[in-house]
Amino acid sequence: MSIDVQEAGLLSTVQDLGRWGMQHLGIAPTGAMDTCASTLANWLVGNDAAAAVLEMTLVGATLQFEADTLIALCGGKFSATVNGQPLPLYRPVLVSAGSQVACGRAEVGARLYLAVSGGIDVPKVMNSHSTNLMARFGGMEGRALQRGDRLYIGASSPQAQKLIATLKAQGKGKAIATTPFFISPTICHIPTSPLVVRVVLTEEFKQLKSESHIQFFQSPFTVSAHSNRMGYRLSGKPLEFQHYEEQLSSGTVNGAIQLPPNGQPIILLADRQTVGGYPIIAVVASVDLPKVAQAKVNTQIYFQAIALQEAQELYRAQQRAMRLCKAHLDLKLNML
Amino acid sequence: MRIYPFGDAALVIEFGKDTSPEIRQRMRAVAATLQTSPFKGFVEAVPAFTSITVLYDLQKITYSEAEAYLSEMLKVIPEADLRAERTVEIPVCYAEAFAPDLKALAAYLNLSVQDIIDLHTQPLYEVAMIGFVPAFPYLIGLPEKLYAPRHASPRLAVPAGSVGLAGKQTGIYPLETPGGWQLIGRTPIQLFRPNAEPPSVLQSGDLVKFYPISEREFWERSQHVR
Repeated sequence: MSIDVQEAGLLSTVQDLGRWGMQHLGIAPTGAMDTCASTLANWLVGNDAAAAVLEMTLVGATLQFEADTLIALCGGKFSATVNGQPLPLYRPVLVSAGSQVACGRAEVGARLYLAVSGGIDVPKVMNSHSTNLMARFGGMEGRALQRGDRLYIGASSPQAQKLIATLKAQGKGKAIATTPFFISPTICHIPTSPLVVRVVLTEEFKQLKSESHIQFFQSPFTVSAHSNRMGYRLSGKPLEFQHYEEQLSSGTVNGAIQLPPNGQPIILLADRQTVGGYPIIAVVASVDLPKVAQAKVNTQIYFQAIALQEAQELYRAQQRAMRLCKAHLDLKLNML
Repeated sequence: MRIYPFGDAALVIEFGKDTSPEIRQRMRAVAATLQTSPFKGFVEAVPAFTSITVLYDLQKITYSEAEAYLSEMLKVIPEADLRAERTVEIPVCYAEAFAPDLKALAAYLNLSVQDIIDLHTQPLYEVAMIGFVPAFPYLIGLPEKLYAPRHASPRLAVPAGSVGLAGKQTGIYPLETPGGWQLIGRTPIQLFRPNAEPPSVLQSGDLVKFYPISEREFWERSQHVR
């Protein structure tokens, strides 16, 4: 089974949960920017959370399905259609053979994830399906999708096969068939503007001038147009150090907020450089990384500091909510 | 040596303020131990010049647990990495076509082009760390006479294999990327091989010796995809 890429969209890449364990060789984790949305999309079609999905940015791809295929779309609110009719997000949808799915444009949020039952079948490189755009490997030949590409699909899980059989029986002759149940979009992290982003401060934060301490929390930072999967460049009133000192380079993490000499912070994300020499003043709490990933250009961000322990508890609570959602979903699917 | 948190899913083990052979040896011993006997929730370790950043799964372990585990571990780890050192010889073509900054650099440093080549090929460099982009080696051991500043504004595209200098360091660009280093030559060796194991030809701790080759030899040996 396969999918024809008729329009590639703005930046559509194959991603999974990331290529971890290679950062010591300079290889960024890459992977889905909003792992909550990619995980939910996978669960809706009976996949493992780590199956390869298509991440689309602002303008989605237009795809033609060769065979009946179980799909799910999660993430930002995109104006998706199937053969011109609205296509619901956040639920499993059986798309009939020959149908054309246009993933549309982002109305709210920035990234949409398409999961297909069985996962997108691209070769694993260093144990991951994720696309490394900078080093040009992984995913679809190390690049974003192009018109004319063909995406192959893996084998469906037994749970998905049951759902496909049920939906086929009910959807005869229609372009799509879907379930009465869906995931509440509130579990996805659709950002607002202004957006409050919780951070854990680092020791280098203390080296800022006292005016900058206050400014970091009280004045907004705007997501600039020079933002991508490597990082979000923010613009606002410049922050200043008491003495600016570049450091010997050290390892970076997702969500690290770098402060270059121009005083404009950069949030490092999935495709980041693996080491950096700019001071890092704070790190985005893991719980808020999906929210940041969904922030569009011009979104206003306010930072809020939380304690390390609170950040860890919030993340664990978020993951518990996700697992609860999965348990409910399994219950519904097993009742078919 | 101290351990401190870095966000909610990582911590830093800092071994000192300045890099030294002793610190690098000790860091490699710690990194090797973490690889062979990881703790519960360990994701990965990223060694740099004077610190190791340790990423962990905060669903499996809290910061204080990870910190306590590492403090204990650090007490029993040997002072030095016991693996045998490896010397990797890297051919470099210093011909003008591959060395856009060599002439200007010679003038700036008050040296001849041949002096620069002789000085650059003389030391046994140490790979202090791999990072920035895949397989990029930060080499230390550059002769003081070759210390030079970065370009004020980086080039938009430095060809793969380019050998450069910046400050006290020399390095090799494994991929075509933007870069601000002074370019003095190019190697035909492909340092990053995504489908090989390991994907980086050089590892942290390796010793590197450059040797000059001609333009003909460069093209005969070129592994770069054109």
